Amino acid sequence: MSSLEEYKPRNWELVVCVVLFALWTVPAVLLDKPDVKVLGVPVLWFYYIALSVATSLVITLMYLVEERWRL
Amino acid sequence: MSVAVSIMLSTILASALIGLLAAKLRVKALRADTYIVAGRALGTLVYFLNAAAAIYSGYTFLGGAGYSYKFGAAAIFMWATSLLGYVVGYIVAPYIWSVAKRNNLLTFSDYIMWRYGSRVLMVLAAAISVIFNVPYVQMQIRSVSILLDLCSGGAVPALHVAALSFLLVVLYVFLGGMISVAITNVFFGALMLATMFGGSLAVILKYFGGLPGLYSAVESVSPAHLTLGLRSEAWFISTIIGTALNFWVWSTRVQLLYTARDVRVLRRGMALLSWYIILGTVWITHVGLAALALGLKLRDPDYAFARVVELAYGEVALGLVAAGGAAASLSTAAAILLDQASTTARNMIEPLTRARLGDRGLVAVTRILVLVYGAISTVLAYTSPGLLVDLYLLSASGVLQLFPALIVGVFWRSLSKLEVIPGLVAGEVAVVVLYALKLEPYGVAYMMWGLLVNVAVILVVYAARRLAAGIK
Repeated sequence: MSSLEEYKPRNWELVVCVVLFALWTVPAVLLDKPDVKVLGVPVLWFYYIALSVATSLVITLMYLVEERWRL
Repeated sequence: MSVAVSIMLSTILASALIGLLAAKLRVKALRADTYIVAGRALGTLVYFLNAAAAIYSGYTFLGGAGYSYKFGAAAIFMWATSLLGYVVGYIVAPYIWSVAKRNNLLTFSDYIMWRYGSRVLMVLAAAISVIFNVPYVQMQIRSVSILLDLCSGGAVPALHVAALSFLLVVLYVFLGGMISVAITNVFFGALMLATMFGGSLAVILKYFGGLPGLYSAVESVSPAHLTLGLRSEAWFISTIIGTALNFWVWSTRVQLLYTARDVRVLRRGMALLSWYIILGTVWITHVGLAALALGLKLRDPDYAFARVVELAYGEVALGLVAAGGAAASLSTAAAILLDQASTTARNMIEPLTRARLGDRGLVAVTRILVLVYGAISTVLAYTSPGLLVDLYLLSASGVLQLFPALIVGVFWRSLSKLEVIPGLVAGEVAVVVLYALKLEPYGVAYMMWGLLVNVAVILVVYAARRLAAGIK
């Protein structure tokens, strides 16, 4: 495999990307309810804070898995 | 001179000194790849902080709190823009980097030339990148000016001092190119993170004891700010998609990818940059809500962060935040300036004049253009300050039309210049027309309408070509 092919995006990475785009956009309409709270935080804010951390964790895990796979 | 102004100006002077010293440290300065992409030699820490400082502009630094102060939860789109941008970056950046390394590419438009083999498309992409970046640099000068005005209460001729600060940046970019930019941005990137995270956390803990307390306080003042109601949900969703897709088509950001030493540095960089958002942008957005809950009446929403920090901790804290804001502005301006100059030299002057500049010639022309673009941005900051935000939105919409050429082209191998050129032109025309008519049909941002037209034209031309090939 040439080095260029090696770095082509993989299908599973694309799937992760599409899922994250969906998670950031689709639930917005459903969660825009200020009276619903989780741990004292409006559900919309709670969801997006949690999703921010989850998105960073996904990128970090993708890197760690990649590194482990290379070893 | 007030303490806050002194802190801010000392920071600017220190950064200029770092930039000038870095220019002295350079090795083989007249090699184009050293001057323009730091010899593709940056390790993880320098790559990460350089990218963070260059990507997060004064607009983001001040606007994060300003937007939530004005529009409440709609400001969450800023988190999505960057985090989804890094997901896309993690997936496509290694490929773009490896192409650049193998073919000695130096600019975004170089990549377009390599991918499509079209000089027309290369020059078009270069022109779009350079023109739409002009207001972005101008905006950074204005941000420094606003911060100076805020710190001094109007006692300092803010725009003159901001322009002078920018000229110091022009000087170190001229002398040291990307090496000076990167080393200065390490300082800037660290300072920005410290002020964003430290300032936000300190304010929220002091006044509200934590996030639940802040949300309760906002609920009692303006419950609408906890919802997306101050902008439409359609706007929120379409802006997230548009700005996240747009993230990597800024030519400066592609050029920054080329500076990484290897693919590991890039991937590690994407992971670290995503945490930068969690510690920086997510917190700073909450400061806008804090300003609202504290009942501050602001002349300009973008003053929210600085005003709240000043209220909580006094002038020294204001100076530190202003220094962070100036760092965000000047670091972005420096990286864009180098990108504009190198893109013009390599992808516009060289092909249009059919001159062969060579390595030394390319560096010399790039350096001259750094001065030229520096002068243009400074003049524009004086002559047309009112256009800034509008022009920024137009710029973001304009560069988004390069998305199919850069990102879709990575996945769709048979996509060619025959589809991309008409799509790009149609997308740009749609953006300019909708912008001029101030139209956003169905509440969807006009940048997305431009992209829809762009993609539709690409698909139609592709289908027509396939059909014609089938008939033959």
